[in-house]
Amino acid sequence: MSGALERRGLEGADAVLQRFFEILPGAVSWTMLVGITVLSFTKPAVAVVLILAFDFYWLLRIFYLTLFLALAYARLSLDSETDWIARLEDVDAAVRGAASRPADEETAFRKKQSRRIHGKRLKELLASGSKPPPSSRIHHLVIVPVSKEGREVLEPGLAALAAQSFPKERITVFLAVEERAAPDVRAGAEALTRDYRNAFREIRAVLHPDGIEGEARVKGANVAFAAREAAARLAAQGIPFEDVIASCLDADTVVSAHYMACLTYHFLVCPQRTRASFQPIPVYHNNLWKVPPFARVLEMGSSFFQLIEATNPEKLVTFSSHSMSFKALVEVDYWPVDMISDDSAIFWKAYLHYDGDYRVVPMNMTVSMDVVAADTWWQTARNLYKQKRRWAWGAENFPLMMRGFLRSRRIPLGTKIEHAVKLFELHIAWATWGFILSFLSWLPVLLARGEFSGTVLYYSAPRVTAVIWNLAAVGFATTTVISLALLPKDESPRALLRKALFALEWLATPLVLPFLTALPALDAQTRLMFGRTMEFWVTDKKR
Amino acid sequence: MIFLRKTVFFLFVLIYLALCPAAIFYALGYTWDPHHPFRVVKTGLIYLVSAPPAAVRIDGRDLGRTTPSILQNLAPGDHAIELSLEGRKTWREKVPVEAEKATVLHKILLFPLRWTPERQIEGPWDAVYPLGNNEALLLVRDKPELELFYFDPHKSRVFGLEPPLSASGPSRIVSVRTAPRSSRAVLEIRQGNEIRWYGLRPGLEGPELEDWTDLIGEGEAQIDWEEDADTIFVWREGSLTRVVPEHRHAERLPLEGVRGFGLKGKLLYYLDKAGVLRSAGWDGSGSRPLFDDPVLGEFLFGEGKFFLIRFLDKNTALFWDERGELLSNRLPYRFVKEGVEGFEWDAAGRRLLIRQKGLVGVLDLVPRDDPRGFFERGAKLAWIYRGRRIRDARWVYDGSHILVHDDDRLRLIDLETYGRPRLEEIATTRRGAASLWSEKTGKLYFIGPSGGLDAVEVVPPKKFLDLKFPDQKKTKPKGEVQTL
Repeated sequence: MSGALERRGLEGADAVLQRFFEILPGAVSWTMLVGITVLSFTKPAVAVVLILAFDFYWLLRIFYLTLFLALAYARLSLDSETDWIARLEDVDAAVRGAASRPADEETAFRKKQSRRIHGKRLKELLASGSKPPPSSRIHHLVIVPVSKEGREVLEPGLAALAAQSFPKERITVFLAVEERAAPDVRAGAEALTRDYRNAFREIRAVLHPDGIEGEARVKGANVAFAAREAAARLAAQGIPFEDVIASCLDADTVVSAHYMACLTYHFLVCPQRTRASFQPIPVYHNNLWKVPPFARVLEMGSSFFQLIEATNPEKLVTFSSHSMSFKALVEVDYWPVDMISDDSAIFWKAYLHYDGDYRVVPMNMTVSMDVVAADTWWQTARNLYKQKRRWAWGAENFPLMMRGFLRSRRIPLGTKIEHAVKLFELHIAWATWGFILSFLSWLPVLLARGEFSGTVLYYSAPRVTAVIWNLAAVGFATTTVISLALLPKDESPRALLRKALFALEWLATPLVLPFLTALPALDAQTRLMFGRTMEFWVTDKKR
Repeated sequence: MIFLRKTVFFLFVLIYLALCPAAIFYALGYTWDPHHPFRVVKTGLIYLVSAPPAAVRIDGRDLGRTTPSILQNLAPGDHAIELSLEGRKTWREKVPVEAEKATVLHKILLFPLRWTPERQIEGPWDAVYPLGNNEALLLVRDKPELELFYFDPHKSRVFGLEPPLSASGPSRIVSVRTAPRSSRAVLEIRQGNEIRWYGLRPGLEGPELEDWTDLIGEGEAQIDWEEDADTIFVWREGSLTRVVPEHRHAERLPLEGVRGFGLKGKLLYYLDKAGVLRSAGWDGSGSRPLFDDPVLGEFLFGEGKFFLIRFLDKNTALFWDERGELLSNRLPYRFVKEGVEGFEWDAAGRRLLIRQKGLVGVLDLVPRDDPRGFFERGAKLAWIYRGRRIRDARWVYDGSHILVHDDDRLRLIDLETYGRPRLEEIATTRRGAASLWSEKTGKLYFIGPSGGLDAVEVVPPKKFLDLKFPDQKKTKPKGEVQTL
């Protein structure tokens, strides 16, 4: 199936459907927010009942998310000391028919559990009959989009790639540089290709011309252009695309030394490896201690979201830095060139292209990225707002996905409904929860007058709400503990104080949630609702 | 993990479907009763806040908690509530509860077993005048010379005021003019044979007394001003004079035959000789009629009488004439035919406390328990207290109580009840002396029988953060206020 993600030149029913599904998220979010506000004035009792129902739902969501956050963190911890190169050898041996090392050999609990999961994966792989190529045949293509990022932002990421435990002679790096980038940015990228020419099989800076017809000024167009160049070179070199894993790493992404080995492992043990993307967990802590507290809290929340999502591979969608089979990338015609949310859109593009036979494999591996930063707190807040609005522009996937679902006869209806509900609920929750929890839920009681102020509901609702919030505090406490565990190692003498302050910074959530989460999402949905377009705003990275 | 996730998801869905409606029904007042034929019963609640906090008993059961307290899951009907605290009289009341309704008593005062006045300033004082904002007192000694003192209860400080000197004989205060919510006062002082006017203004370094006689003029006059504005208006024999004391400026307004006036915002409202209510700028310009019905004007305002006009808000005005008739632009227009000696709005602007020589009444501007009949009845007056010589009546504790200064008795009428109001004797004053109720300090100041300035604490100060519900604009109606 192809063409589902075309947005331009739509006519007839397609155009109507596209507009309908573009309007729907914003319309529902606004209806919820305005509806609760109006009801708070006109029918406060109804508003309170709805808010209680919402609060209860939110409490259970908090419990649910906290539980899976804890499990995801535990899962992440299991693999923290895994020797991925040894695992690759293990996979190769298993495929050859040689015996794999039993889990009992490990004594430490974490290692033992990790080994057990590994054994289970191998079993599934062998049972699937899908024989992977030997790890020695696997090549990595890493595409790094460059638009505003100078050498100081790019170099740590390249240095991390150069320090991989995976053989460097099978790692190719393409710096996808925008033609419109400032001369010093372009020169910086060129200089890096020279400095790192011996660190990889190949490193090139590919200049993406500005103004190619059909393209928008978005990251997807840049990386797709570089990927096409790479395809030509790989084909010329006789490297089969099914042996190549393409990774699109944001310019500020710093991977661990075992990232490529880990990625290769997940690629090999995945029976449908050419119908899959591979998603690491982005954690925003490259510059964590240099940004204002609200930015720290916000970005830790983003990391948590991805961590929780990793426990739900059936509905996982690619986000930010991600990897996928190059074969699939070529077959789906690369990343969309006219969408802001290319990182998630590529999943939907592939999912629809393969009629639902496409998945995202979560990797228990973090990649470090930058928290948005600027010279002042205010500018940082503005930049964060723009970044979150850009992320929330992912609502543009909803109409494309829905049109694709309506067209597809092969994707099971239940799967369609599950994906549609999840994506829709995600965007509605994103745009509304912050407002409802921080402001609107208090409105009916604060505005109470007339009959309502003399009802049992007026007095008991805040008590029920207090119980709900107290229970939710258990979830918040768990979140805070995990956030402390996820912090980068801090050797400074103020480490303890910093951690204590960071724990307290979570108290800023009631303000961060509406203004830097819900508002940008509502802004994005409103723009989409009114048919306005958005340019890809490249996040300022400051080191 | 997928299996676990799905299992937990469906488990949570089940929990939600079971517990969410239960929580909502609980919040609505439904509760489980195994003895009831339907098992589920509708209940009500009682919300109690007292000052000071006290132990709560309901229907003879000690709940082991103190106010503020919400008593939930109560069966409809009357419940006997008792609030007790050592050193205070026990508060008892049968409180009605209705299904799904909250019965609110959030201004309960627990009275001390004995009221013990505390001496503020030694006397003797001959007279005391509360100033317009009820937050300061003018203390007077007449003999041998007139001595004036300004008492600030918040700082417990007394400021001596420069006494007006007289060469023509002894000085004596004739009247102290005040305006609602104003910290200023205008003193009318007889010095020998002449009447002199003095302005009293609280300043940063203490209050100041200033001779305004040349500005206000001689003779009987009606004076009014708007809160703490710099301008005062003087009515004398049908004409209005605008006075700006700071600039020593007095200007007669170009309005003739004025029979009454009042101020609201930056507008002057006046009644012209034809009984037409008009508004104009403070300089008298831009006069325009607000109400021009000669028949109704004649019926209401008659001829010749002077009316002081007071506003609750821009839509509600009171017209008070020299004989004590109290009219309004709200139905039924004529609130009281005669004899009104003073009145005060409650803080919410819903009720008017009216006093006559021997009666105290509450006029409810928005009667809730009076269904609209064929004829719209409008505001409703209930005389609730009959006394001998009522000198003052004030709302106390956000309108939940009324303080009555009857002859030499200070009494508190407790309206925070669903039954008959309670009457509490507080203290005895020096005969003829005024008293001051300060809502801010919660104290009542008065000249005791020995002539010193005394105070009793009526509302105990809050000792901790009182986390209670926001004040309701409207609570469950307690019904028409009953007479004592």
